[in-house]
Amino acid sequence: MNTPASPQKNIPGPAYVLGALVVSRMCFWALAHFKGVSFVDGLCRWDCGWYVQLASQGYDLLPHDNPRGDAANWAFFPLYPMAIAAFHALFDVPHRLASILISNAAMFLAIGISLRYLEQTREKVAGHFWVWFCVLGPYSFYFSSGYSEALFWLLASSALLAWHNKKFLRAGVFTACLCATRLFGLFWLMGYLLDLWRRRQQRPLTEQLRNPSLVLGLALCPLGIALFAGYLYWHLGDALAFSHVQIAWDRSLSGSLLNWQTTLQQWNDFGFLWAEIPQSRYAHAYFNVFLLVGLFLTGVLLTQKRWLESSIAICIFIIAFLAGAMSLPRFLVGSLVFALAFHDFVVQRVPAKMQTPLLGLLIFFNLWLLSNWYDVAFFLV
Amino acid sequence: MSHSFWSKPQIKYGLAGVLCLFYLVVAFLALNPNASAEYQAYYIDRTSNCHHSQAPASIAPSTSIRFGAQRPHQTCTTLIEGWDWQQPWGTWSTEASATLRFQIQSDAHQHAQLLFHVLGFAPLGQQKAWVFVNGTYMDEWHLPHENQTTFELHIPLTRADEQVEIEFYFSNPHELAWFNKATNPIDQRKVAMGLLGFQWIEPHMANE
Repeated sequence: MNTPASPQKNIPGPAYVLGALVVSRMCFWALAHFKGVSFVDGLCRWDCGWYVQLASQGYDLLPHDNPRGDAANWAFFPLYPMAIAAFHALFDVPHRLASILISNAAMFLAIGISLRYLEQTREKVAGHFWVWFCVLGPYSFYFSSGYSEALFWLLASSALLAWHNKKFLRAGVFTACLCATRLFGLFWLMGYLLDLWRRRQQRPLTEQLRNPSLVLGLALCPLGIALFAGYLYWHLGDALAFSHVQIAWDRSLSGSLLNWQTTLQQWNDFGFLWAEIPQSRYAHAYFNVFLLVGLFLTGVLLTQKRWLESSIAICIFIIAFLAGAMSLPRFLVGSLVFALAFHDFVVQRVPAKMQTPLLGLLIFFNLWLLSNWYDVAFFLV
Repeated sequence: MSHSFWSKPQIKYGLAGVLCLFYLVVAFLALNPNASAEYQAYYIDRTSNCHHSQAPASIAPSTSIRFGAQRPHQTCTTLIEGWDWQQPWGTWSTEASATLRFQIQSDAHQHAQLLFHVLGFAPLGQQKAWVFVNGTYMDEWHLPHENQTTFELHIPLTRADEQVEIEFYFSNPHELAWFNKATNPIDQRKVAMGLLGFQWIEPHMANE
């Protein structure tokens, strides 16, 4: 099944990935030091606090946070905080540090597995570009922070690789874990179903479903979210509390559409992005750029007829759009498939000699974002 | 032995069936929540602006009610509509009108004399608040720009422990962005009056 590495598939080994990861995190540390911010505290911003609280205290019984007092940690899926709690229990490492160590370890594995996936599914692979893009590309600090993004990438790439290799049970288990990490995991199941439907010309659906491993693998996929929902019902009496509590962050369909209306109307407003007060840094135009990037990358997957990845990308893009402008960059970066699309674009459309300068620009952009992250800039919430 | 057991197709189909049944049960639970009435109304039905059952703030003679970030429960029980998230000092009105609800602890009084501590936001020179108590017009206040001031309000009491609803209608609520005072581009609050709190004063105090 595995194709041997060809000259067009320059796949770096684990030592290279580890080296790149260490160098990148040293850059993050140096920037924190330069800005006079504690490295661990600087990385652990916004939702990191929720994950740490969840890992140390479990799911809330009552809401307690935000100015209205209506926010609770029900919005956060359990696998990542469970991993933090387990790491803390095993090694007696503070929760905050544990969250960062887990994210970085997960990202190291995610890069290795995604490289194998690229190797098996692409004609050409820009392996070195991919490694540096993952460790230092825009928003890569999410994968180093106490956020579930790195674990999601690890499980997402593992699930895609297993599905591609027709290891359906393994794909089901990884997708179940994916669904226990973030809601978007469900879209992997939708992608699998679409992939099966697409293959019905070669092999009828009824015949495909005669494979018991495939059926069990598909049935396993939603297990993570179903267990989480069942737990929330037992804990609170509301299985959908993770969705209902979004009101605490003013997330509603009408609110999001109104938000996009304003964002699109003020399409060229970059003004507040450089505001002196970090809490004021926000620009409509910035999010419009990501709207276009998301559409473009989804288009890249569609034009390549990568139906599994593009169907996942479409679902995520729609949900990210409906969640409002501020969520879009994080959802795009944290979902793997858009990064795969960007890799494909670079490999196919960017000349080899231009890839390194492009990477340099992206790293520079990321360091600017990270500087804002350390400042607790509002647009990175 | 165990390997051959788990690899049997019947076992795999059976497990898949059990999982599907489990998902049906979870879906049923999701559609039939068993939460408190307040939770249901606030988080699920979104018919209430309050997520708990605490009573609205109540005021007794010679006492006061203050607003601010340390009193988040008042955000939904007392500051009913048209108010911003609470600041350390109190809260801004953010719409063309704002509603306040509280209980007056009284068994012997026929009226309550309340003294409101407010801030005005009137960058163009004029900001008026028309005050309605339980739907009846009571007073017109002229709010000075970014200055703290007090206004008295005479509230007739018809019964003991009466719940009072005060509505403020503002003449010129302004967006902060119009005056370069917005926190960021998505700050679209239309500000007219800041409310710090109010106190029940005795009539002789009012006359002084």
